[in-house]
Amino acid sequence: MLSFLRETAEIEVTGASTALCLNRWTAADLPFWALSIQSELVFRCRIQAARLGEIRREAARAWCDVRVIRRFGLPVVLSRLRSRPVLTVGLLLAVVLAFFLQSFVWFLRVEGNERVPEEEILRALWEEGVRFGTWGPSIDSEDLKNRILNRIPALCWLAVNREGGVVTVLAAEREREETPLETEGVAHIVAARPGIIRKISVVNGFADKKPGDLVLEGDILISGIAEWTLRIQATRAMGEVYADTLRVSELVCPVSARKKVYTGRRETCVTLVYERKRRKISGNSSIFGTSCDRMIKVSNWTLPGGYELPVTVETETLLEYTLEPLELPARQAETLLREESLRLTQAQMTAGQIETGSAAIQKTQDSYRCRGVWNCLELISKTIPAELFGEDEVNGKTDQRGTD
Amino acid sequence: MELKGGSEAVVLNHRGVIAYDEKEVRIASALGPVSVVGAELRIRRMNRERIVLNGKIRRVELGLC
Repeated sequence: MLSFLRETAEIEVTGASTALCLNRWTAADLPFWALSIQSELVFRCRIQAARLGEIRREAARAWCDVRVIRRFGLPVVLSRLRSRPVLTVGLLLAVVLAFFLQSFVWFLRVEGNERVPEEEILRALWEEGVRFGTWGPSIDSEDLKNRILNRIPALCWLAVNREGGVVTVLAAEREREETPLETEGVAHIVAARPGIIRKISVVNGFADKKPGDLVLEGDILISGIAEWTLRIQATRAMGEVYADTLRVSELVCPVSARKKVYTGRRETCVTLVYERKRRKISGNSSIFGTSCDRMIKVSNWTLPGGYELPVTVETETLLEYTLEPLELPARQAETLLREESLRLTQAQMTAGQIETGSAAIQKTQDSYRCRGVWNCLELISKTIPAELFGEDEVNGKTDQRGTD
Repeated sequence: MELKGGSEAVVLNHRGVIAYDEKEVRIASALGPVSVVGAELRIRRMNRERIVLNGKIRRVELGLC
């Protein structure tokens, strides 16, 4: 390192008495190193360039010639840079900027979030003044943490770390409290809709109905309360009841619609977005008015290493179309409506299947009407809390027959 | 004189180099000529107090050779 800071020269010494030359240098305290023998009469070594004159004199006294092969070291580099002022200034500027620019925030990263979107946290930071180009030392991590936690209640902990030009936000989210399934308390299982019971499975409680019984909505299917002679047994009824039910659906769709027909004309618009400012680069996005499909592709400018710059390029592609009338054929309408009726009916059931049924299609002047009637086998049981004592019993109005 | 392994030799209080090449370096000392024999010998450093030799040192001979 020291030899780099001082100018060093590599020399070649030629002479009959090279050993004498070395001895003379040693006697005169002239340092040399990295000696390499080229031949019997020639060797090379490195010396301090500032002492080249003395080296030559002593070598001459030993009847040796000295030839400089090359010079190197910091002074040589600096003298070369002097002849290239722009490069020198540029290098100095780069070094200064490398130290100075680290004081600004250039990139923001968020880690640890799962349910809270990263954009929400970045937006909160932006509103608190932490964004691209913010002066780093002005960020008070503790104060910022408290303000962000106030803005986003879903977070329970936050840490803001700044390393050079990168601010990393570590977030921890509150745990979601899951609503526990109610497993205690007296309850009945009742019919959610009318039907004829086909199958009843009792896990707990007392079956009030049997297969083949017709039930209406609200009828108790499995009771949680049983009255015995001298006692009442109360429990939480559990089980499943499947019944044959009837479901009716009515759907309507228009006879004629309008269909998009693309003209083939297209337009591409490019917009540069910096934080919240937009600048159109090319194209005219209003050329087709509202009669066009718009597809927007957004790409972020990203540096190697995954550092995202706050600059995005939006490429909007417009495809012009015209609307032409289209009449829906009856067969197609029938298929569409029937399929939709089946899908809707299946979606309405908690569990079960559609067994048989039909869909009747009727065409009016401007619409197709479908009435689907479906026979289903579905789960009709639902759990409701049961009252152990009625209101009269609670108010003290009990049966007086025994006391008369 | 110090020998470090078989690759470095340091000769202190010398009186100059008598002759040198890659296979033998002869150094003048108060005890007489010292020959360091080996292969790929190089004078790494030399000043009034010491000479430092590098290379594959096979033997060191003292006295007239």
